[in-house]
Amino acid sequence: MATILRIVRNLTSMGSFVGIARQLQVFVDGSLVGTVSWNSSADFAVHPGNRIIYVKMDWCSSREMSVNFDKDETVVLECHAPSLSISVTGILGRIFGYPNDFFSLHRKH
Amino acid sequence: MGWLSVEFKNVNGRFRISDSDYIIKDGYLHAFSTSWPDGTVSHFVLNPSDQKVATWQTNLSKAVDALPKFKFGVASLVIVGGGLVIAGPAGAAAGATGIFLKGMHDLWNNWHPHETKVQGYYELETGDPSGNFKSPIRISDIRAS
Repeated sequence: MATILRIVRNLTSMGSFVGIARQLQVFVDGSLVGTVSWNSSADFAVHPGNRIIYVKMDWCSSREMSVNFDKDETVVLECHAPSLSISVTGILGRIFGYPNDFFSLHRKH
Repeated sequence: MGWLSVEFKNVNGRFRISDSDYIIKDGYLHAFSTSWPDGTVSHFVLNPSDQKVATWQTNLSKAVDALPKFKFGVASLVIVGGGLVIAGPAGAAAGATGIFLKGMHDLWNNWHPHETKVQGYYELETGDPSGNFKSPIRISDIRAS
């Protein structure tokens, strides 16, 4: 057994249809540990303890999320892009106005 | 930007048309509108290649004005939204940059109309539905300044 971080990038909302041709970068404690393709998930081995997790694409990222990993635990985080209002200003406003809060991570129990 | 002067050969007088009433597209005079003494408004869409007036429409100013804005809005959404879906934030930014550059290009053309391209004779292709004028009407001395 190992301690695992699983990032899920499934089709769960309209916001899931962002960057379908791009990889989503996964960072643990500030280090890039790998990428996740669109409509898939990926597992990353982490050390037990408290870890800071965030994901990033281009200059847009999620907020940092603090997650405590027990030994041999698998923590599943779902990643979403925001449900953008159907307007150009809405899209560009989020990309350029709030780039560090573009993606969101939700722990799945 | 100056004004557009249009002379209808079988109508007395010349018509000075304000900036907002004509469209320069790709360096050519594309369309213009004018008001008649009876209050009606006519829109002319020109075809510089054969120098004929392609359409003659009256009292359609709202529809004519609204259509380009609607098309621009939809096109912008498709380009920026499509870029975001396919290529993420970088795709959306690239789409927005393209739209911005296209807008600047259009502005540049409007500020620098190609005078030689818009001069010449334009012949009314369709009859005047109002019956005020006999077809064909020749429009001469069209120039942007």
